[in-house]
Amino acid sequence: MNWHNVKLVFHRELRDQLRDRRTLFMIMVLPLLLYPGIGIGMVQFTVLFVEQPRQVIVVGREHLPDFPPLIAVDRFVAELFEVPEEAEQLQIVSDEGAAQRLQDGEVQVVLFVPPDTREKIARGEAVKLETHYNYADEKSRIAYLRLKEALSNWSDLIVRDRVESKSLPPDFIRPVEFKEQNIATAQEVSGGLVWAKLFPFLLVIMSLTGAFYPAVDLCAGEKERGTIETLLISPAARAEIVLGKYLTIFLFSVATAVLNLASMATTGWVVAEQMQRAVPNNERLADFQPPGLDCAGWVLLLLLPLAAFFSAMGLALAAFARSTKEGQYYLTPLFLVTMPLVLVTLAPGVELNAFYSVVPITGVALLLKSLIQGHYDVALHFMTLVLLPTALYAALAIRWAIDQFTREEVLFREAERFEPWLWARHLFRDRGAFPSAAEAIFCYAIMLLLVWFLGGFLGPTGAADATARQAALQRSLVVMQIAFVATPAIIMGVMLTNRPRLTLLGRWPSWGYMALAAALAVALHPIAVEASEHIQRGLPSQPKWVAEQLEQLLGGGQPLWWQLILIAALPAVCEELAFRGFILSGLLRRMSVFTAIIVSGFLFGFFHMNPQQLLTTTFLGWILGVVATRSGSLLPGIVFHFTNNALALLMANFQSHMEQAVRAGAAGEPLVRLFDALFRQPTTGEFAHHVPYRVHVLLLCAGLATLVLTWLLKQPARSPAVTLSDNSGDDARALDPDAAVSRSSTLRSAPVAPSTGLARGSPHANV
Amino acid sequence: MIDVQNLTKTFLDLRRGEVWAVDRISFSCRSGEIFGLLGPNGAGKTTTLRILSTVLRPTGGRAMIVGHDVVREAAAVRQKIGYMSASTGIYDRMTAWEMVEYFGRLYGLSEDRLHERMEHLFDALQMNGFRDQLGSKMSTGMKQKVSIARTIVHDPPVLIFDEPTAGLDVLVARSVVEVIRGLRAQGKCIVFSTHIMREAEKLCDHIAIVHRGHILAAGTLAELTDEHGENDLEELFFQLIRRHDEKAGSESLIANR
Repeated sequence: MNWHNVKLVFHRELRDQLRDRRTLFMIMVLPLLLYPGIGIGMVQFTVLFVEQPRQVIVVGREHLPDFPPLIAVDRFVAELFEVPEEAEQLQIVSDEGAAQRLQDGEVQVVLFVPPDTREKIARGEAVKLETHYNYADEKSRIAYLRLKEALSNWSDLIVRDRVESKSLPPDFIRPVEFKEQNIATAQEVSGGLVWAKLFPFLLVIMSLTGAFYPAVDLCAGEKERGTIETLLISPAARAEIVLGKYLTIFLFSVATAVLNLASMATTGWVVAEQMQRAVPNNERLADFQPPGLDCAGWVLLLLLPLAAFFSAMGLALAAFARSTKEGQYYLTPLFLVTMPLVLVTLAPGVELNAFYSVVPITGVALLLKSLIQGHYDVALHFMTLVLLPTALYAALAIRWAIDQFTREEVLFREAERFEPWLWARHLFRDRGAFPSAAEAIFCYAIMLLLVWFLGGFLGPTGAADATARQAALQRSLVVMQIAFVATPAIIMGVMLTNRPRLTLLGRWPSWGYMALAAALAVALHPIAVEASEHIQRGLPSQPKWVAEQLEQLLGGGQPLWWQLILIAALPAVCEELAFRGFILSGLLRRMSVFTAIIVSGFLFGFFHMNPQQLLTTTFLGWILGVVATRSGSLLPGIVFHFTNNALALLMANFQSHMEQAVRAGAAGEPLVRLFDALFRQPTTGEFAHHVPYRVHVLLLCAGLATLVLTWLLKQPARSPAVTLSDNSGDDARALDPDAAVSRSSTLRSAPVAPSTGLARGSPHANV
Repeated sequence: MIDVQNLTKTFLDLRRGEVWAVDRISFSCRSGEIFGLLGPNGAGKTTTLRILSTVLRPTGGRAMIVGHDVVREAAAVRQKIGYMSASTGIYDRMTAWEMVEYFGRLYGLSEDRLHERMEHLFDALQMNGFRDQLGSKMSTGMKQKVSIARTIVHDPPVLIFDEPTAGLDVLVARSVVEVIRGLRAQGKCIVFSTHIMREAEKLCDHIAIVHRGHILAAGTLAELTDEHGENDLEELFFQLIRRHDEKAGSESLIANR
């Protein structure tokens, strides 16, 4: 990396952006004008705009008692309102045609006073005052609420009179008094109520837009103006160019956010001051007091990782875009993906924990929230866990952007009409021996979509009884595995590849691998159980219905073999076909064996859509990837998968069975002794449902697993997608004479074209 | 200086499948020589030159520039060449001077050497009149001059010009041709593509006629006319292309049978 070049590119791009009137306007001028403008508007509307008094008709006013007074001339008595000035907001008008005028919206409320009111109140009886208003009209509703307040206070005065007349103490009607003590600090109040929620939100929006527009101009704009090639033929390496651009975008992202927030804060402060002066002692305004300087410091600090992340994302998307127009299209989806990640932090009860920390954007937003609220211990605890992944995501996005800059089809994409039919035909006609990485990801996306959208319809309906529910649950499991997992992989394997059997790893492995896979599954099972138990404690607990559904699925005396088929055999076959078959074979075409295994593991983990299981299933996905690539066959993976799932089922049965046996006093029996050797009694702190393994069992298993894994990792990759592919897509020819002649390139690369080749030559043999 | 062997480039087209944009092209060019690629639009000239400039990677074959492989030593190759084509535009929001200066710095020239060189180039190309004018405000001719200055600011031994006169008026085109001729006199190795016969005739020491990714014929102008018994380059050009297309047509007929 030549930093001199990075600096040169950075300086140029910076100057370029500063000369661009649009960028300058968006970033510098707009915030300086916009917020003061909004501020002035707000002051005008809320302070200087005097609320019109609402019209009230009191029918039968003459029946009101003289004491306590309700009405003084054409207003209600000011003392009846909590804020005495509000009395001015209700004007009492003459009572002609009350009903009609209320209907027409001329008056807002009509109060009917019955003729015997004075007498009833004097006698200490109750009167019924009827009030008519229009709920659909906001003005009428507000006037009604004000009137209600006055009437309620008026009623209290009458009660006080009555109490006094009976010579009772005034507290007679108020036997309980409430007194509250608020322990929140001023920082928590000002931070907690508005700013802690608002700042992360604003920061995300601003750093995102601040990054995006320059990114589009610097990448897609450069393509559009035809200068990208000029830059690419300079000695600067692609990484240097991308980094120079990245730094520019980052700077603009930070500057946009800082300027916006500064302008907003100044405006907010000025508005608050003015409001304070206009409406003194307004309690609600206290909540909006701008937070202190330390808060500004935290905002600035956490702006950096956010800006770093968004700059990288914007850069990568903009590098992919062909024109600035196309680039700007990508802003909306990016926003749509980003917003839920911030909005989740606004939900009550969402606080920083291990899981949210690693979620992009959400982690940073929650960290900022806890810093603004002054929860420094929590913030410090999760600081690294938030910042490291964010840095990693940013680095990955930059890597992706650099990758875009080296890809010819991205750099020199021409605007061509997109024709789905042609595309589909091309996929089928020009299919290779193995699926491409894009096809693998597409297959995964289809599986996810099917499970998401159709999976919900398969489950039991609410009203069904237990047996029907069980049948429906089992049916949905079978359909999901076969139709949504295995079938897409098989269909795509047959349609999109020349060698579907090898793509899906359909060949016999050596028996050693089968045995090893089973042994590995047995050895890893206790470790996985303990690990996931530990992980689950750090996470929000699983909703109840998950456990209930499992109970419903398997409960009620199902035969064991049927349970094993449902839980172990079926997923083992279907998921292996999809994940280690089609998807891993596809990923191997584009990535190194290591990366492909890692990525397929993540896909596998995420597919289970269960945060509690995410880490464990991802880990198992990696192990399965190793087993599949090393053996070059699907079967050892199926054996592993089956053993793993079956063990989970059997051990649960075994445990509950044994616990009963132990309680029944069956100590000394061989099975009970085996149980004692494997498990220790749970201590009181541990979950009741979990019987922990003994430490030496775990150590033994870990040793065995390490041994097997080390040996496996030393083996060469035997996946057909690795061994039979030279990564250029010409692999089919080496394998298959039939495939060879169907592709024109053989004809051309071979000095003497075989006669069969000529005879069956392709349309572009002579282009 | 430039040595190209069996250079091949294929890309994927949805309609036509795999397309052979450049099909086993070989040629070489020495210092003080101009090698011309003459061919109609879409013949594969630009693709070939883009491979030489390291922007595209060849599918097959090999290209060496001043002893460096364009794929494995791309950075070294970029340092040694100056490349100009219709798609190497200049920045709108940079002045002529800044533009040339920027690229000179990217080539790692020292500030003294760079400014000395720039003064010389701005004089020689008569660019002092629009030194501080922004790219967006320049005429096509001015832009082309800035591009040329940008191409040769680091005084590279190899120069690649892809249709440098396309879209220029006669006067500017003529001065561009003069510049290229001057560069040859300085001993540069120059590859030059055009679809204009007259330019190729006037300028090139060696000419290769390119059509549909193939070199149909190559040699000096004299060799070409002697070999094919046709004195007029234009006639020769059309003959070769017609013959090639006829042959291709009959072959594909056989192939499809």
